[in-house]
Amino acid sequence: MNKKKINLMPWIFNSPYIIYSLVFLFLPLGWALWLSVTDWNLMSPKYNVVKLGNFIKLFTDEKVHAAFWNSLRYLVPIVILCFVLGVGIALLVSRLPEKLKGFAAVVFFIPYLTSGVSTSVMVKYLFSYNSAFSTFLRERLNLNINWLQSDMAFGIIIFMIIWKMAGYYALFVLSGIESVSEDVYEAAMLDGCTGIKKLIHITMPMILPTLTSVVVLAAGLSFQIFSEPFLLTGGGPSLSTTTWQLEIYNASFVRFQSGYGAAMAIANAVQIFVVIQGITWVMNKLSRKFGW
Amino acid sequence: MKKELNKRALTSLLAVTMGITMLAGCGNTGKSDSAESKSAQNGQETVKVEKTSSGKTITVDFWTAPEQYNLDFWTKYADKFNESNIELNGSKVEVKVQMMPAQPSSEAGIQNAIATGTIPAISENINRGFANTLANSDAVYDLSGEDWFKETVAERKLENVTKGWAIDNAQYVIPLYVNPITYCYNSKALKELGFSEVPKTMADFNKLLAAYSEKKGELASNGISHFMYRSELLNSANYWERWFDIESPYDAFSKGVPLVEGNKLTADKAALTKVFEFYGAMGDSLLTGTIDGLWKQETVPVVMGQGLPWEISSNKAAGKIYGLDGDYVFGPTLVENESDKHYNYADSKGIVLYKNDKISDEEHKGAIEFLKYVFTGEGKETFDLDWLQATSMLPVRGDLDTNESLSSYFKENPAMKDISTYVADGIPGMANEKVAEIMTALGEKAVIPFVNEVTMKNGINQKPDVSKYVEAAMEAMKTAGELE
Repeated sequence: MNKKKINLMPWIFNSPYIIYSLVFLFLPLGWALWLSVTDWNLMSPKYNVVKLGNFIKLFTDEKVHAAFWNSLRYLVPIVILCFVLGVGIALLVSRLPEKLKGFAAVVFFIPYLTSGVSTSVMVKYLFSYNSAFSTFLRERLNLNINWLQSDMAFGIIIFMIIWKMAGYYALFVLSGIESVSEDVYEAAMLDGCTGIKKLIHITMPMILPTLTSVVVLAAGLSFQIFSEPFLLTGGGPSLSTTTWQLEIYNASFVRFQSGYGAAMAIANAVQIFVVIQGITWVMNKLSRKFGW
Repeated sequence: MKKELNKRALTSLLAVTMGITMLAGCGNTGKSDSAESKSAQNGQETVKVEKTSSGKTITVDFWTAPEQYNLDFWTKYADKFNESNIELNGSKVEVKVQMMPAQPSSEAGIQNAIATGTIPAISENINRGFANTLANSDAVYDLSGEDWFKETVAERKLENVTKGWAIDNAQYVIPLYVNPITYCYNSKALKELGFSEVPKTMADFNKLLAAYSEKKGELASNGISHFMYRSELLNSANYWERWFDIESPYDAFSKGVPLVEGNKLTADKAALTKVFEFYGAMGDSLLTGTIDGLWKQETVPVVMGQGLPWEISSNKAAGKIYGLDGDYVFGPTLVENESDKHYNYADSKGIVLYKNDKISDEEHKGAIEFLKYVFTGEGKETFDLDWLQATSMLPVRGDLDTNESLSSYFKENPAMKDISTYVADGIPGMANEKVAEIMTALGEKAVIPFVNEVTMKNGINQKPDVSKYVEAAMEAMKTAGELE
């Protein structure tokens, strides 16, 4: 009888990742699933298993409704603007002389390195009701706008996120553009494909996998917004800028409903999974149709 | 073969090292039960020798509020206590003071510490609302039956004060400090408007507002652009701000009727209407937004604002003089009749003793020894004066006005003296587990829409109809708190 030899090497090499996933992914996930079926506040020695009670409550909670729809409201402009500006910046930088390319890429990347807290504080001072800017508008142009407590607040948060992330995604696109072989462009030029035609028929199809990554990452970003509404608007006015992260934080650490907060986090994860799967499916279809 | 074995051993070692390094981050960073564990916090290194059961030292962990001056104050008293070599069953009790974690908030820090078993035996910085949450979670001790607590109450003359702190007829908190939230006035503006004293009634207030309305243009040219400033009137996430801008005037108008009592909405609708009318009367002369250090500015741009006692020391450091002849002056909450009591919201916090499996009985008893030392023992002679000087917050004492040990301090600090007269009418926050939801809903559904739709769009004294917003406030509190 032949004893099958078990090769341990793949397990050993993969063990750091396996251990990492177990400790930082599966254990917290299991813990969150268990927490979500309880009414525990993490403090009391007593708690009740409420089964699906927390999940049922999600359907009638206006804060959850707002977080759900707002994440989609954030997603559309963030994905479109990050994509358009990312591609635009990358095209601009790619045309710069080699010596300037690195410098320009770093300049566009700097906002990404800036803390969300510090930019939020700056924006708060710029747009608060009694800021120099608002006072000027009020007193000189008779425009009485309370930026952070009106519908404008949503636009301001979108602007901040786009300002921060567009340069970061531009680096992805730039690396994609740079990886397209010059031979391809030369062949296309011989066939009379130049200018905008070159962009549409050569560059874009060839970097479609990169663009797919940008779209998926930007979509994921829409579900992770926290510091901007937390510091600027508190999710208001009338929950119009609230996000999943903000509501999970408020439920778990302000109202001490940790079980309910865990249920919200799981509902959020489900929405992210469904939306990202949908976007990936669409992008893969586009890749197959238009990509090289 | 040997070479391959070496290679395998090396890779195995590498993988195990990586795994262990990664897991090292999961270690318990809280308090250790082991003997001779070292901890370095807030720049202080302490050596914990045989925590319990060895008969040597009982180490009592004490968490202070997340301010350096609180840490310094309590460290001083802990050092004095430790030097006095107080023993419990033959073991020396030693208090170790640390600043409580305040990220994302001190309450969340405590929640995390309870969940992970790193909670100290004792901490300050607990308000009545959070004490209620802790009590319902069986995380703090009921002190009402303890002899030492009764002695503390008697020594500090807290008999009446503790009534306001009761939660289901039990006492979980030793009230430590109180900030009565009233109003603050720009002394120069008051003078320009012809006022020689602060408004005390709504009639005084209406006269002041009418005077401001008349001289608005003139005042604006002197840098006074608005009548009143309230920074977080439009931020529902900072739910505690409603204690200051809604609950404090409400307490005054309602003559002390609570907004919420237990699980019942007890709000006096007429009084709540007066609160909304009070802000509505100011119209667009009510300034909201963000101004850091309003009362420290060269020209204060408003006539009045919220009176926040914790700003006094920094105002003083900025060279601002307190009093009607100075730069700013505190006034009481506004009432209808001169004879009415000036009830106000008491921003008050105190000390609790935590109940947790990780806190040994010896440590708990050691914590009580420390509190006895501070409030009824050797520390009692100097405690209140030291506290005032260190924190500029009024200690909770029933005899605050008459206590001789504090009279010289009040003589040198007239702002604190004025504020101390409002303490007797201070009402602590509601003891309801859903206080955050109730106050957030009050902001979201009533206050913020009211400010956006009414005050900003109206001028002074236009008497807008506030009934819609009062109804919304009542309904919002009831729904959010699931109240009867």
